[in-house]
Amino acid sequence: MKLKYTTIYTIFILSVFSCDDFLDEVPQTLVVPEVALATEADIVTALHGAYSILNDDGFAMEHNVIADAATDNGKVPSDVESAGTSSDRIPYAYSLDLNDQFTANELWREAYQSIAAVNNILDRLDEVEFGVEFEDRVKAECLSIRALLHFSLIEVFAQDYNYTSDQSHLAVPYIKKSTPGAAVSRNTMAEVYTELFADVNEALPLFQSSGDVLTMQGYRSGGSIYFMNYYAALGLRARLHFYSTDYPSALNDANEILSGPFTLEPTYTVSQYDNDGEVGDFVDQWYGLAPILGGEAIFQLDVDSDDGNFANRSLIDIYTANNGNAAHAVSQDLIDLYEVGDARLAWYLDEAATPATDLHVFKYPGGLGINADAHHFPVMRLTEFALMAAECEVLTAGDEGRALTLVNQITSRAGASAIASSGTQLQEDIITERRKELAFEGHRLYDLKRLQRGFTRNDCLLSNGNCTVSYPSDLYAWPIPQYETAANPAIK
Amino acid sequence: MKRIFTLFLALLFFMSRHAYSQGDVTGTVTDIEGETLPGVTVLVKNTTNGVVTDLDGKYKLKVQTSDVLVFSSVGFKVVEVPVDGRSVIDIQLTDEVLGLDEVVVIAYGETQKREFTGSLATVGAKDLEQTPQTSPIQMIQGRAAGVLVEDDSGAPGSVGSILIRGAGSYGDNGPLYVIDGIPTSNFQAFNPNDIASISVLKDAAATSIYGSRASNGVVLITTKKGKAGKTKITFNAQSGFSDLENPNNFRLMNASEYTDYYREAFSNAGLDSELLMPANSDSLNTNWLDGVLRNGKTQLYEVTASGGSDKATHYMSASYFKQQGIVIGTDYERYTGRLNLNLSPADQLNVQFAVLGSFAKNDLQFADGGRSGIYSGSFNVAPTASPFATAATPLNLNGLGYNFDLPSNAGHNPLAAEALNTRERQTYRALPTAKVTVEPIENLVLTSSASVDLAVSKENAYQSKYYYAESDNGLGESITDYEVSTNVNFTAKYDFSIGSDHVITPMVGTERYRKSYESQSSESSEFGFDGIPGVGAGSILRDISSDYTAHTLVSVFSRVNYTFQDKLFLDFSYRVDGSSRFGPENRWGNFYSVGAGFDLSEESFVKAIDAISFLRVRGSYGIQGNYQIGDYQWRKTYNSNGAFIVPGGGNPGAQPESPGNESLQWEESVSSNLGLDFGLFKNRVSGTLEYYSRGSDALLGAREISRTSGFASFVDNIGDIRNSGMEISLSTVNIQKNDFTWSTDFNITFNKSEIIKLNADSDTTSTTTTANIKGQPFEQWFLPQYAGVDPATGQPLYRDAAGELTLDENEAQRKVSGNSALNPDFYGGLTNTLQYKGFTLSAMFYFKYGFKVYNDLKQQLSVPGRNNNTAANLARWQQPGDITDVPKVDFNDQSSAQFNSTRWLEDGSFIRLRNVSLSYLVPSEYSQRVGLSNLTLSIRAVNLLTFTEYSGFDPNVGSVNEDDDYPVNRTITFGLSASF
Repeated sequence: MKLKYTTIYTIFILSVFSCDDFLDEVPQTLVVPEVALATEADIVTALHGAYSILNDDGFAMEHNVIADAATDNGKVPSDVESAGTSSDRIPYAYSLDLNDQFTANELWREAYQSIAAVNNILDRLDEVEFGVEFEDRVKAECLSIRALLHFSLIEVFAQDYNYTSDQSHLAVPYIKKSTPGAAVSRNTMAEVYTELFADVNEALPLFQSSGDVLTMQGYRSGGSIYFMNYYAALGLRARLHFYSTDYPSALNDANEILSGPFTLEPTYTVSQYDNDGEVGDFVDQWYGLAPILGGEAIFQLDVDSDDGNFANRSLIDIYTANNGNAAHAVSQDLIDLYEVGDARLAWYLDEAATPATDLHVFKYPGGLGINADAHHFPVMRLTEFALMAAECEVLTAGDEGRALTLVNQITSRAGASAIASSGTQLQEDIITERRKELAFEGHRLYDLKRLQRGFTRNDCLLSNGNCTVSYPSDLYAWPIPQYETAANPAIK
Repeated sequence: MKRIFTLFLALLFFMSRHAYSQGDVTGTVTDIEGETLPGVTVLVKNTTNGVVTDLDGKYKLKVQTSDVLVFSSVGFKVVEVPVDGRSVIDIQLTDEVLGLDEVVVIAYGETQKREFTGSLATVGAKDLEQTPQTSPIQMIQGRAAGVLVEDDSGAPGSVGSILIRGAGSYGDNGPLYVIDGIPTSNFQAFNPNDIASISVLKDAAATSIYGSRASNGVVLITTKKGKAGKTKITFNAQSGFSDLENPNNFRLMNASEYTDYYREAFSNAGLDSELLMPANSDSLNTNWLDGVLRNGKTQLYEVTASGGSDKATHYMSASYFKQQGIVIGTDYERYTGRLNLNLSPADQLNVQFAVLGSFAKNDLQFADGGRSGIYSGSFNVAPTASPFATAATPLNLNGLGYNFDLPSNAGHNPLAAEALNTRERQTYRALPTAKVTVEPIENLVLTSSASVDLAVSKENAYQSKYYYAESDNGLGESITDYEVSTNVNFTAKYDFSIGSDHVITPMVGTERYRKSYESQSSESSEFGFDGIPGVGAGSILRDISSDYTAHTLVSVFSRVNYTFQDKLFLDFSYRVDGSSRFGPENRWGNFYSVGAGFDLSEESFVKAIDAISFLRVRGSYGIQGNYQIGDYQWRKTYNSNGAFIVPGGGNPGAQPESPGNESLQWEESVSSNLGLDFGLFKNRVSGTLEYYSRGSDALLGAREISRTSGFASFVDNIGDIRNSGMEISLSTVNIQKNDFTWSTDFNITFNKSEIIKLNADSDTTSTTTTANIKGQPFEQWFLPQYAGVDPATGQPLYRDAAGELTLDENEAQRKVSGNSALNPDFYGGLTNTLQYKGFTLSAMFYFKYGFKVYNDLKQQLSVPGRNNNTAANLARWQQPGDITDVPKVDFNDQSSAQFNSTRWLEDGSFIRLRNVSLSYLVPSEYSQRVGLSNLTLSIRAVNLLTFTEYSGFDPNVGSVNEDDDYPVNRTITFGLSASF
């Protein structure tokens, strides 16, 4: 009897150790990488994960808001509500009260997050054999995403390409291998440009050799404009040349895009839209939840804040005041550039505020009330390259007639007067037209840097001296976020 | 592994028997008033030969002439009586006054306090009764040295948190909670009145046997058990009310102050103040904060039954608790049931069953922070605005009569938030346990126990389609959480003596534990009908997610206690833990402790001093561990949940979730403890003096890394911290006369924390307001130094690196700026208890000194963005020459108030009258007339008064900042307890 008790207990106790796999808890809603990146379908899933980061508030919002708000296009609404000033709506983009807390925190974080995601995939492609075309296409997309994001980082965090004559000024770390915990230092502008060209130039032939194999093999749907493609990579290379003021090369790439399968939106029309009591006149070609400007779209984002990854706000939330608290308004300096009757004035709407004083950006009205934060955003569209080609023709002392033809396609479709100037005035007019047409698409600041110009805001309420910025300016290279400098001793 | 096995088997077979037979001794045990005492343990000293007294306080035991009998019972002094050949020994037990011989609950068993070599603080039933708190954690505040208790929140149903002997970890600093031997954190399930005692284990000797989970201490909660005897039924009723304490009259601006303030803000910004804020804006004055606050109410009804025979005892309780919070729309209701059953069908067999079940319903704010919260939102709204729609309100901002034309708070109307929106959480909990004890051969006690700890919570929320501050057109949310832990353990204990001087008690055991957590949530918008809170009633379903995590722990442990001549006590414990939270290479951890205690009372040099009635020294050393990190952190993982769909829902994506870290290992803390326990003047003065040092190595924590890696942080062993300090506990009986007793309990803790090492790449890791710096205490405030206002311009001034004044925020130098709430210079409690006949008056002061609070509510209420501001800003700079520390208000300068600096840092030191309790035991001649054996009436107060210089509501903030979270309340409760 007593011996039996003892024996039973001993067996019980021993049984605890008989199953060591009790300690091998395996996650059920997460996947370990050996499993996550095993098949072609897995690789595509991981690749789409990298794209989805582009829709979040770093690349899709901060990079673009900064480009306009931090220049003579932007304005803090004078009827600003307190909500509009809290830092998640980046009011410092306008006021330029920059420091390591008030800077492009999300862009830095998310750009590198996406870069790490594509680096993981590139590593995996080296380890596992997949189909040749498949591998080429995935590699091309990864390399071009990596270049696109590094380029967006230097636009914000570094001075312009020609800030030093030998490009020895510091830009950002170019990350080709992501190592958690490593201290990483900034590369010079020259080094970053070398890597940018290396990635894009490797990607372009791979795009050509593989074609849209991922769609053809059924790995994705939704159309090529949502993914990096040959022309998007080419457009990126055109920008690399353009913003490093290599205008002849920029012209070459822009011309190749212009002769590609895209057509300029022939005309801008305006209609009134009414959804659940929200009423406004908007440009038809920019309205709605479907892809916008279908004929000229090269690369677009399908932003939907309901995807839950926003640390801050979506672009549309900051610009359009869907909730009645827009944090950024449109400067009268910009409005005054449009003629009366220019269809593009319908991009700006006087929100129902009391007292009504400011215009807000309604260039992307989305569905106006239906899924209030959702909108499409054109990262690259044909118009940009038409204007780039026009400017390059003038700057390289090329064909001014062609430059006029190109730029007047843009003015005429909006119902504005044609440009007829020449020489430096023509260059100025093209730059102004670029400012008007590409307003709030994330270009103005980067163009001012390229041109090494400051700016003056006449419609300006600031008392901190930032109504005028003259080149060169520290405000043209945003501070590295505090979280980075605190965790990475190699960064300065 | 093999080593432990050998040890275990050796212990199992190393048994000696030494039983002698002799005559019986019988007797009756009574208390000081002559009432018989059932359930008293009567043991032959240094053996396990013993019985428990029956219903009539009688016992019968086989003994030898030379044996000594030990009588013990919780709440009474232990008495030792030599048999000396007698066959009848009647004993009267006296109340345990000073706790030296108290029976205390320790890891995997219980012992007498004087034999225990570790450091332990016990809060007994009598103290617990004085504190009408809703959570066991809050009951300990101020009553145990070395234990820092924070309330965290005043929200109905909130629990509070504990820090034992300083912050020793970067992550979760909380202790391990063990309820009747079962590790759990399910406090909300409890009716605190079911708790018999709480023991806080503080040093290695006390905690090491809990191994990997013990580095931040262990809190053992023991629930009430039945005692053999006539079934006793007790009915308790309590009712009370509560409000917000506001020690320094913090307030917001009223309408006319607000109007003047913003007219000045607009005009300082060069704007047309007449257009933006006409002078007559203050025609209406709404006090929004008053509007959302109310007097809270609490009610508790409880019935307990306990009793039984010598073969079976029971304790049963059922309770209903209702708390109406001090913020409108927040309520808590809880039903609990508990059953403790103890069966001893045979001498060698004991079976215990316990079941705890509870149901709680919690009405919460739809959002409990920021603009949309009821409480937090009320700070922002302009006092000039009306809560209700008027003729001037635009139609699309008139939601069921509420005004949403509130630009000062982004449209959010806190009164409408309460009236139109709902959030209700229902929580179901169950904790069944079974424990079987057998004694197959004499002195060998085998115990096995198993338990399941279950919590299911279901939360439904609805934001009205007429809540016009949001554009979702109705928003529904549903969240369901399941938490399940299972625990199985076996222990074997064997007692034996070598001669009469040496008693050795070895114990071995094993344990298996698994905890899983699962949650599901979904949201929907675009509701057709209003007020139907189900997610399914919305037309667009979105944000559907589920999560599942789990971890396991397997352990073997052993302990040997050795007693020499009942004055030298030694113990040794050893435990091996394996956890799924670490990679295969670093899965197993070894933890051990040694402890020694020496009772000097009987030594001649002590006996020679009359004043000393008790004196003991003790010390311990050992290693405990910590594994408080998330599940699966060592693994590299990808996350593929629905958040990564691009574009338009067609293409699922996956992102790297965690970088993993295979070299992750157990956090270890090496602690040593020196203690001196003393009793003076016939134990009229008694106390404990302790010095401790606790070095935590290989701290587990999120290490911030360069974001260029794609990750913000990874879990790593990130550094070492040492906490050292002194604890003093003192109890005195100041007056003890016939009917009158006055006693005082005092405790104080001085803890010093120091960061010894940081493995991060930089010397300092910091948030925007705090930093961990080598050589400094844990989490110091680290802020730019505010230097007041420039009298010429009204601009805020800061100190730069050279210590010079600067207006430029970018030049302002961040510096170490003081202790956070986790590291006060000292803290403690002072309790005075007066007893006169049936009256007991007790008052406890809780104090905490030498720390700073970051008043971010004040910061938020100093941003001039049309939101209301703190009345403290009435002292702002207005014209050149003004000397003030509040800068000029300028509508276009909203960033200077948002700039983090010492401007918002305040001394948090306070003394708080935490508890006052007055109770009256109605004399039995009266209570018996109405058929009651006991009738007690009481009035009890919590947080009655606070003395502090802190300008906000509560300096005792749970987190390090005071923000707009639910405030702690002041409560007064009336109670009645009747026993049949």
